[in-house]
Amino acid sequence: MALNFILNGKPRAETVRPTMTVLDWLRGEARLTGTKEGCAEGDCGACTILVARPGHDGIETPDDLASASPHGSLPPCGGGAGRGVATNSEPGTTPLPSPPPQGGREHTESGATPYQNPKPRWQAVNSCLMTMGQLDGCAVLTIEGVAPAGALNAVQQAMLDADATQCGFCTPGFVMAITDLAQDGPPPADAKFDANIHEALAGNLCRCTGYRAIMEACRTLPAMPLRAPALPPRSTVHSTDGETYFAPTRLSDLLDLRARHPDAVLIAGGTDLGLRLTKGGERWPLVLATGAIAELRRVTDDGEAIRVGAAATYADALPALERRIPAFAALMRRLGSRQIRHLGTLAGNLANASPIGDTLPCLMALAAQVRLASVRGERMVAVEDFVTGYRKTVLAADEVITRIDIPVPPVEVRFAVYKLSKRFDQDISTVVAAFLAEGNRLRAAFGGMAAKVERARTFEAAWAAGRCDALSVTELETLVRRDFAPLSDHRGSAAYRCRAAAGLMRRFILEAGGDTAPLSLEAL
Amino acid sequence: MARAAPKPQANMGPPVPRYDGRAKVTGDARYPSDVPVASPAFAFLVTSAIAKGRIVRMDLAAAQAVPGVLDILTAEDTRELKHVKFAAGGAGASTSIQGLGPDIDHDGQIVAVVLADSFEAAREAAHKVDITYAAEEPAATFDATNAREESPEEVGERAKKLPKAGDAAAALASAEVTIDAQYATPAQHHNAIELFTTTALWSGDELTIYEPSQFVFGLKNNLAERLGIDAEQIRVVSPYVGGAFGSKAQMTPRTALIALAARRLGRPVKLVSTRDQAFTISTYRAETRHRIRMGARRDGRITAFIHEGWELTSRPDPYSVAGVEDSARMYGFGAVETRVTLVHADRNTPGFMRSPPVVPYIYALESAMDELALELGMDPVELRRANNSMRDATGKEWSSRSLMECYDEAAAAFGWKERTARPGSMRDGDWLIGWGCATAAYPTHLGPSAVRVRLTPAGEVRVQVAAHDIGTGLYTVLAQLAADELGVPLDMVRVELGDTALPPGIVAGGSVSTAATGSALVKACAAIRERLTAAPAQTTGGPSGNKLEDVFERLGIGAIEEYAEFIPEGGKPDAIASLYKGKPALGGGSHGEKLMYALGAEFVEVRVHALTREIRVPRIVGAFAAGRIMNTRTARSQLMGGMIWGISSALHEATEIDRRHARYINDNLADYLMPVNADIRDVEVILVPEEDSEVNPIGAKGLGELGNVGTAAAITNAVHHATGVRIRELPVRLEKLLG
Repeated sequence: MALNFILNGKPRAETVRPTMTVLDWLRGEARLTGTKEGCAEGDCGACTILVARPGHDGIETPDDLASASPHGSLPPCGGGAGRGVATNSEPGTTPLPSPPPQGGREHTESGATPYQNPKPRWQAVNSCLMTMGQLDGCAVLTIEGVAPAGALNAVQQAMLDADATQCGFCTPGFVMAITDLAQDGPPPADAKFDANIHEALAGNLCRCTGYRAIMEACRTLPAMPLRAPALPPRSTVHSTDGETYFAPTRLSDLLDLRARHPDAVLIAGGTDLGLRLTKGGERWPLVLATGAIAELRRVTDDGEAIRVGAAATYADALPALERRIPAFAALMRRLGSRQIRHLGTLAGNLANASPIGDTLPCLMALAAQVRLASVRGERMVAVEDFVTGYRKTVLAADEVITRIDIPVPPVEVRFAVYKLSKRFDQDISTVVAAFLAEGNRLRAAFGGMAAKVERARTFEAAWAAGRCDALSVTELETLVRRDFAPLSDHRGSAAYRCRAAAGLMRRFILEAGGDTAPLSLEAL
Repeated sequence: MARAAPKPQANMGPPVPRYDGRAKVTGDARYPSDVPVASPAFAFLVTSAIAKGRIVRMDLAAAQAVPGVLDILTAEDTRELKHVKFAAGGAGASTSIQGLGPDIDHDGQIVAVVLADSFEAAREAAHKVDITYAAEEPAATFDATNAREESPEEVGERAKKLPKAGDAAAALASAEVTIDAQYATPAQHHNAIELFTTTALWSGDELTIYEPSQFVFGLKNNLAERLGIDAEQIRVVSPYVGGAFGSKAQMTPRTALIALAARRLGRPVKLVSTRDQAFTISTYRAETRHRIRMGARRDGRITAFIHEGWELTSRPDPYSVAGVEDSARMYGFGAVETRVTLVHADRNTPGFMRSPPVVPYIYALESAMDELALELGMDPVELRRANNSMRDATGKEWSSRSLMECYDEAAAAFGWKERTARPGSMRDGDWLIGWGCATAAYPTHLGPSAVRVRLTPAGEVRVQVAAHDIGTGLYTVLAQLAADELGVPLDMVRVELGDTALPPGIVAGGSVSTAATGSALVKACAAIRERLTAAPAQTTGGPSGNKLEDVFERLGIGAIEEYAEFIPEGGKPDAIASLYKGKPALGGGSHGEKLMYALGAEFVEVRVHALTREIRVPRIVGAFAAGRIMNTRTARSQLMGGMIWGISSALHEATEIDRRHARYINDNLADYLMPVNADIRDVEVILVPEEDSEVNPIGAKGLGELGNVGTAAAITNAVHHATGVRIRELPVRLEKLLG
């Protein structure tokens, strides 16, 4: 079965190994070499492309497919029509999943509020982290497709005018990332102007380094609304060169497949798992992808909790978090890069069970629950019981994560998250701390302090006893050392980690007591 | 837009847009690995997992069983390759370690090359090559028990060529104020975003190599020697380079392996090495250590300067940057003594990385200057002024020196006079503020170049030279210069670079390209003008006008093509012949009759969080004087990029070494930190007018390697001002600032 997708406005049906990276296919078979390879592991952004995927961009109903724009190209600078025609459906392909409601928030049968991006949109992703299997049913835009031959789009023109290229190798990736940014109109000229741009460009490295000129280019952007193209139908299974890639559209099918193939690689966004292919030299004969299951893409808020489906990306979860748990959202905006957040999932981060996974301390402090399912049934497990050790979880061989329920703290409850890293963006944390305080009850969880994310029980007890306000950083450090014995590595020494953890405790105490303004690194 | 292109002042060219900007924003610029070749085989390198010892057994069965695998090259298959002598700077190989084993000389040494029909198959098979090693304990870096420090004789031999003046020890002993401080800089890797790639294509006996290169003639000649064939059989093509910073100036071992593989298979072979391999298959900036002793009078005049440096290198290669050559000349020191000692360890051979000698040595010098200023209770700018001199301690004179002009302009723009001297005295809420400054310097090198220029009656100009634009702007300034010299519109000029089918250009290193290539270009254009003016004023029946096509018609020719060679003053007469053979000769800097340097002054504000000690650099201002500025836009771009490199060097970058295994730990772009956009705030570049007719015919000093010099010292000086903590080992780590 061929993979169907739209490439720069033209439908393609390709029979390729589903675990090949999109980057290798683009630069190889497709001979589109404007997309560059700088690291092949999601760190540099030179391979950034735009992807529009079903289940996210709100164009899932057959009616929408019929009426949507027939082309995937962006309006070129100074007008001009797009090119290419997309087909609708082919006989014999699997029907698309039932559509989620469109246009902002709507009430579902349970009264929950689902969050959907109201506009169809392109999303910047790292093509080196995306496998061809994930491309089925999607549309792709590369640097070659953003403007008709011989013309420049507004972003390219701005980059040219601001002299924002030197060696030029990172440039196509920057153009794509900025095009993603610009599709919602020019960045607002407010206090958050720079922060918005920084956030959008956190995943693109320029070594030469022309960051200031690139910022200047962003400042001059005109409005550049984009329309996502109609998407082709997708299939539930691909088999090529000894690799079988299942992309079921129903949860029950996923559970059946999982029970039958406990050895299959279960992939959500694949931003971390995919490195086992590209860096580990692995070959995956069997892959089970969760991304095509509509109910797993859903993010809902029923007032008590934000319920994040296992296939929902970080970006999918952001609007709900932004509204209800802004401190968590702020941390998530510093997680990886925008490209990573468009692919990676909260469930994947949890299943990885990394000791420095950024979201785990938040989930633990908030007492989040994980919903697990198998053909045997469902169960709910607290996040702190889900992770049992360094990259170890309670997930059984036939089980999958289906949802993460994040309780929304009541307004009178104080929740704060701090991330310490050497570089502002896209940096692996040295220490992450999350605190949830409700009266004399405190949940404090730390990443980067042990083999897995752990709670600071001694500090919590001291808080409950009302002894914290009087403690100095040095005294707090003694509490830290009772719960943690961190390792020294190149991200920070054990002594630094302990001292910093104590410092973060002190900061939380001061902030909770209203003694100091919240720490803002933007406040320069 | 005004900031993207500073207004040209005296002796500065207009900020015309980048010649290759359009090709780059559209993705049309074709880098070597983008060139399509028919049915290529894909190569994947297998690298050593130990740093020292030997390969006992290599089991290829599992790898060969992967469908699509064509061939696996191991040591036995590559015996026919000749050893090429190591030479820093492009004239030879990047390392003496060229064999695929069985002896292993550093971690990550190439030990096999897997060739397959697809990249995926080659990668999978490479991971299945099963190697058994007999490992020995390696020496990772300084202080390792079995590292070999040079003997006093070796050090003494080198010291004969290093600066010395007067009796520094005696001057130090009798000085009113002294300091004695030690500094250290870490290993760093270039990490250009473009990876190390090679595509080899044989057509009969003719070999074409597509490989990003800073010196295509060097690569061509060295590769010929390694393959044992005539250099004329090889063409190297590299019109665009995705960043290099010194890493692509020399031939590395991979190129010959890929050429050999392509010959064995009888089909083109393509290699795109991985990011982690980039740390070991090419060069890097080696770690250094310094001890500086200075003696001064109470009024600030420095009477004694003793700078000792230690540099790490590989076991076989004596790679050294010896930047005492530059630090000892920066001010009018009374007496000077210098020494450099190499330490050999089980590492890959280091090499040039952006501003090789001055980055570590000027960091040490400029830190010591700040320490001395503090000791004297003097403003750091005034200490530099007190020691500013048109002569160094040996009596050698500067061709031009605008250092204090740079200090004054940058200080004014920065608002330096608002600074209060006491460390920790400037604070904004939870943020401790520190202001610091330092000198930037880069020697002005001189090199030879050839060039060919063609002019047609329609006014079309074509400039051809095998020089290299590695993001520096050479395409743009050559187009600009040719348009000026021949009086044609800029868009009529086409520039071709980076191809050994063209006349040879100099290595894109040492900030020498603009001066060397530009000087040759000016010569060729003058010859064309001469031929045009030699046209008869009139011919019977012909046109008599001054229009270009009329002149051509009177000359009776369809085009003028001039080939010119430029050899700098004092250069050897066979410099161009040597260039054809891949041997670049760089003079200038401190080596000629006069001291020639581009100079600058950088001012930095740092903010250190009082509780967490996180460090931010909200603004940096640099003023630079570098002779003639060809294009203020590309100049700003280079200098700004350089200053960001400097910030990176101070706060982010270091290659971490596992001391037990002599292995790089952070060999990826997530762990090898370089700044992201959000780390960089205000960066201001000021161009200070300067004229210097002595450096070269076009009077340009070069500035690609100027901006990142001294920045690290400006930042650590500012960190001291903010916190009272003196960082003498880069990079600044949060934990070093904890009280």
